[in-house]
Amino acid sequence: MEYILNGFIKAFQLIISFDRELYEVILLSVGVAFLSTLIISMIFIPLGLKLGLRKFRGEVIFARIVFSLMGIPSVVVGLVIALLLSRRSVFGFLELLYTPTAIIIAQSLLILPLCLSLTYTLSRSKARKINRVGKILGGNRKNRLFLILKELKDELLIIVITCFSRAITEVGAVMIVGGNLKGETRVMTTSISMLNSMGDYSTGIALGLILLSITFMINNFIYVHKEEV
Amino acid sequence: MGIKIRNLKKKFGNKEVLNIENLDFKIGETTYLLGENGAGKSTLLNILAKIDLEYVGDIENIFTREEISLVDANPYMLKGDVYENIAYPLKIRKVENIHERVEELLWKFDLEKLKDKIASKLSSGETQKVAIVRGLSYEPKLLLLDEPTANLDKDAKLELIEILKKYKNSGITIIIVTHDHNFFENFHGEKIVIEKIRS
Repeated sequence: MEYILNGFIKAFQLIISFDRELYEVILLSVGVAFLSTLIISMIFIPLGLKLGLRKFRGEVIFARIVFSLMGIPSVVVGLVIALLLSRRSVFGFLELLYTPTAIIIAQSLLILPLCLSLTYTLSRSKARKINRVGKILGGNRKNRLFLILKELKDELLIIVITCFSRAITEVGAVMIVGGNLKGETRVMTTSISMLNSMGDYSTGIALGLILLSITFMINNFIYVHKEEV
Repeated sequence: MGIKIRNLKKKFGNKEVLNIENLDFKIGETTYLLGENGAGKSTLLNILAKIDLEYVGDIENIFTREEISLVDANPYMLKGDVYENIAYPLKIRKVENIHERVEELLWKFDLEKLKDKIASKLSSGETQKVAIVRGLSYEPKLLLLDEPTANLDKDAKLELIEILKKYKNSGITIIIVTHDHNFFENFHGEKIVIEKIRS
């Protein structure tokens, strides 16, 4: 038990002393998760809203596929991306494997079905009603779009945060496509995994505490907002 | 000129829900649409409101979309308070003196005490009342009401009828889907029965 206690003490020392290596890992983790969430949200929130507003052929099949994709194992996603980005493969010339960009691609693909399905479901259940009220009250397309965004801003923010939370806590796919290279692609989750196998519990605990704090803050924010919504 | 319907047919998938050969509505008058559940009364209101444009047949409707107001049976209240809900149609129409107009409506229809209440937390009666005032805020020439007194107690029903009476003198055309005798007894109008299509 002593080494765990010592681990906590060293962890706090590392955090307070602003250990450069530790903070590089944290910044990269937050940065890639933020970018993947931003890219996916910018594209798939409008798409999910638009698809949910209209009735179209194959609606049920579409929903089933998107929902099923939410359960896809992350290591499979990582493996597929690694295969596509490897030197002798289709996108090998881009030389993206083992770079932060590869991590962003992996995280983006992982959160895509989550973002699309949540937005699509929200659009079907609420945006249709709002769109109808907007029409009834005489709103044009632009008015109705702004009305939907205004009415659903809390729910959409929760979706964005859920995606960020999923991205920042991902380990399998990130390990495969990023390679956990020191100073380049090492993020919190892959670091914790590596430090554990090396027996360096103090840094592992420090990163664990920070990751836990970030996810706790995010989930707490979601919880408070859900109460308000 | 007015509202004339000729050979109107409406389908949902393969199911025909409306088939009206000939139907005219008098301008400036009140008309009640009656008929059993599934007769297509609400669908007809949507078509008259120009919300639903997917139908076959000819409809001559002198009113533009901006001159029509439709109040659903279960109206959706926008986020925010009652004031914001009533102000919204005026805002998107870029009407001048919105504040004065809303204040006047709140006073006229005795809604001042609800002004700052969160609209989604109102009772059924209050919601229906606010929805009707919101629908009247931009002074429509055609008012379409779908079961406006469903789920309301008698006092709330009579209160709604009073609101409509206050507005009736402006020459508005009103079409109401209802089976409520309180309406028939207190608010004069012609009754039209929409027959349900038997398959």
